[in-house]
Amino acid sequence: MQRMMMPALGLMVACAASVGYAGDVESGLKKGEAAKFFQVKDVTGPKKGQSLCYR
Amino acid sequence: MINIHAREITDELTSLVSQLDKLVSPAAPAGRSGSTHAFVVFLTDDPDALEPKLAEVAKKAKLKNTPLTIYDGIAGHPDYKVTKDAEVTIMMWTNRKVDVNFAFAKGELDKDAIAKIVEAAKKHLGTEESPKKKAS
Repeated sequence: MQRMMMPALGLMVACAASVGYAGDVESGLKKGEAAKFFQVKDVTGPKKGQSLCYR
Repeated sequence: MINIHAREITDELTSLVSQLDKLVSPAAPAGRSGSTHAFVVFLTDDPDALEPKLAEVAKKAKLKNTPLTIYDGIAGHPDYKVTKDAEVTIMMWTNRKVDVNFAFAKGELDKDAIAKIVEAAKKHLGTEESPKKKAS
């Protein structure tokens, strides 16, 4: 029984590894959510050196 | 609007920003902008150390339209829900409503992922309208 389960287990591990594609992690606002006001410091843009909202 | 939240400067991120930079219009502060813009927010606890590095990246990548900016705090703004495992988070919105989201853990942003993001950006920019255009 154990001999029969080992290949199946290996296949499951291989499948799990193959679905670990880029983008698995969840982060940021989801579809439909609102991008709210937030300030950043512009380092290289037209308002270099200023704090502003580019949203 | 295309926004990237990032915690590290990598070659892959620079490549992505460089490609997006060619698709968008010059950035403008909120309230005076349309939607076909992009900006990158680097999350850091050490803004002073990061600033010269960003200036170098912008120069090296020849960025013309995409400002690199800093948010003081590695956790990011709470309203944007950037999780601690995400090295790069990409959001695209129209009229301030998000319609595209990508997120990548450290090392996950590769060539294939970049190609998918750029395709999504083209689609996003091709279909969105600025508030000004919509009103007219």
